[in-house]
Amino acid sequence: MPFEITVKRYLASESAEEIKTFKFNSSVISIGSDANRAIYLEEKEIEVNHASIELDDSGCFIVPSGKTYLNKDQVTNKSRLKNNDLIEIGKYKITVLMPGDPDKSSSIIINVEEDVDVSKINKESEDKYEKVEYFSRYNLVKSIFNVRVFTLLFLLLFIAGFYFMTKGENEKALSPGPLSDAHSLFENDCKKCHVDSWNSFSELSDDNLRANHPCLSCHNVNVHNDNERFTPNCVSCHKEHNDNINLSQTYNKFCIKCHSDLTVKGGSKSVNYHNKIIDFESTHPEFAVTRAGEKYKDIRIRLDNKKELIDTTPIKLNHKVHLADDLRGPGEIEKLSCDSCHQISEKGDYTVEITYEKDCERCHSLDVYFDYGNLKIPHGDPKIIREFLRQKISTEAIGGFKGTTSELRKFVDTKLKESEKILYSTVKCSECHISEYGQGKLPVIEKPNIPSRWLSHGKFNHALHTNTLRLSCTSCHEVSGSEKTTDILLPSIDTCKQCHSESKGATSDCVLCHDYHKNSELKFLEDNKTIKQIVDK
Amino acid sequence: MRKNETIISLRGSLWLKISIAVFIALVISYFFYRISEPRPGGGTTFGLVYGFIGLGIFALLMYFGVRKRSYVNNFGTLKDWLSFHIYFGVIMIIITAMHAGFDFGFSIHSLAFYIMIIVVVSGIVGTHFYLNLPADLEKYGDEISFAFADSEMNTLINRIKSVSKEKSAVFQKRAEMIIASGMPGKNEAFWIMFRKKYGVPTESEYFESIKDDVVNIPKEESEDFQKLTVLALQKFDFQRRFLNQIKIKNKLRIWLVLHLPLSIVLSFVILIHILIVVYYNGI
Repeated sequence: MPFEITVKRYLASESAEEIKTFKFNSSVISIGSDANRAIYLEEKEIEVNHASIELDDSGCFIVPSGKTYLNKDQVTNKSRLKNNDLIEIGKYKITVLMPGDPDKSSSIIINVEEDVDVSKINKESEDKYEKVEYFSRYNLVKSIFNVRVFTLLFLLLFIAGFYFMTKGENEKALSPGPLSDAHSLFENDCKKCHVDSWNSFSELSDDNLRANHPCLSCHNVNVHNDNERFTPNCVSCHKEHNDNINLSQTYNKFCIKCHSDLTVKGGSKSVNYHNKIIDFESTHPEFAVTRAGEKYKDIRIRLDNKKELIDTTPIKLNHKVHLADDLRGPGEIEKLSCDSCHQISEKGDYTVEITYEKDCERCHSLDVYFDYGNLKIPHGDPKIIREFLRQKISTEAIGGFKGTTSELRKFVDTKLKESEKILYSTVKCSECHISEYGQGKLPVIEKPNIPSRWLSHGKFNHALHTNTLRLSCTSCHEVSGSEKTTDILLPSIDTCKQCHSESKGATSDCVLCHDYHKNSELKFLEDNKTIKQIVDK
Repeated sequence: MRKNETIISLRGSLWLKISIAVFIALVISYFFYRISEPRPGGGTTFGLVYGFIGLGIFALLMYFGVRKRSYVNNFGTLKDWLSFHIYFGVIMIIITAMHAGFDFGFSIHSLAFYIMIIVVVSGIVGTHFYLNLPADLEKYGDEISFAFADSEMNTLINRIKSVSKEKSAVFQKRAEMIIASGMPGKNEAFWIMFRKKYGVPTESEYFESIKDDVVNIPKEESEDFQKLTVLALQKFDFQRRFLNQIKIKNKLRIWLVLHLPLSIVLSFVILIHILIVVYYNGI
């Protein structure tokens, strides 16, 4: 059974104070001049294993091997110890204290006292040998490998590194991420954009801030909508330092933030625009054509509003006839294709405006035979045609006429009437145009005003779809059966969704079709700049 | 703590289970985050959420340093705090990487992540030491303090000097060799951790080395030479015992030399990271 023993050493060489307390979970306390003994007594006369104090169930005993005195009497055999017994070994006095029952005590205090004159020992020790701090040199805490030294070292390293990082071109080390391609020229010049740190990218609604806005120093940005409730700051949507190669490619969530519950200035719901859009697939409304309404106010009609969806353009066109296999051309039978009339612009986005000269004249020519010659009548206002005819008659039909000036004028007028009669009986303006024509009167023709853009709120790239993807026009525009001019042959949103949906893969981002900043541009787009001007800008 | 229960398996590995649950939740959230956010980063909504969670956990991890020195504090047991510190320290690497969208480079912001990795790895090493080394320490007997060790060592050396005083040259040379054996060199507190022998001969090595001395020692010194031998073996034995202990004790401390100072530096780097992104309105 192990006993707990407390050994208190009082050593003269250590100022006679209690300097060490040991606890042993052992029943045997060894005493000797070996440093490994539990009670180590340093004296030449003391044996390595001089004695031991043993505890067992029957009590506490001193077991001597060398010269040992118990209460001034030398003991040679194992002897029982009592409370306050004094053991003397050489110059050391060992007192055994047993506060409780000595036979059953589990807490015995042993005081070790050196019976030597303190001042003498200390002096002698100092004179004889130097005292070396030997094992203390293994103490990590006292070495340079301690927490305080390393904390100081790392902090200094960091401060030096931070100072280095914030100087000159190294400043970019503060950057939370690379700039977009468009701004990569400013990668090493943080102050180009961060002119006034706190207010650098504040809201654009504030005119004062807008005047000093770093983005607006280069970008001429138009307001999204005059009636918008607030103008977000640039960085709300265009996240720089974000591995964002194309900064203009923003997220739908920025649009949805407002358009999911669209309100206008004053906080009321928007009436001009669909006010609950959260995505393209499920909540985006059907496309709407913008058509000139009464008093030239644009009206928008959704493509699924079949009742009102009428092309009111004052011109007559039958797509079915024009796309027939046996169409009579200027020379022979021919077959037209869509791009016979609808050519894609050089930019690739929209089709070029249809004109008579470019798209109609080849088949619908205005060549008319008169007795004074074969004329190519200009396509245009009948008043202009009249002047054209009058000039032609004056130069070509009066050859050999002899008479007075008034007779000549009368002749020309008569000839003009005959020519117009021939013209408007040969050339049927009404074949294509809505016109009124009566004897002696010029035809009244309503201008066609064919819209250049039907879906004016969205953008589209025809070339990408037809040239790159090789889609046929009729994949989206169902024209083959269209016989009426009033037909609007635009694809519905469902046509687009066939590809532009999450399941099909083609993106359906808002900015794919919609421009937030209409007609915005860079301010310094003058021509013929040098590289230096660009770099210094 | 129950029998055979370590700080790792505390309360049936409660903190391990919690940290695994948090880890799974983070991975799932990041999966959805990546679907909705093609360009993840600290400035995105999710990125900011990860950032705030990470900052909160980091504050708690740093609080452990305060808590373990606060003996009168009853806010959770110290063992729970330590177990939390270990597991959530590791989780911090994942949260930080998610906060940054796994995009790191040469910047003050990435520096925080790099320092964090060193802090966490040093913490893992420290945990490994704390779990395994104390058992080894018990093999080398009762703990010896530095003061006691120095006192004992000086006593032994003085006794060796005393015994060898006014003796023959062979005797004195041997005494000097005994004293010099295993004396610590520069920065020995650090290098001791990597040593297998400490320049202290074993009993057989010592007896082998004094073969010639025994022949050459004058007869009248032979009795003292025996005492010198006893003292030498005492010294070597004591040195081995102490150095084995100190090797383990220093290993239990050395990881802190990186862990704690870099944690403090990390606090500053995180503070600067936050100030920069807020100051420049980049979030």
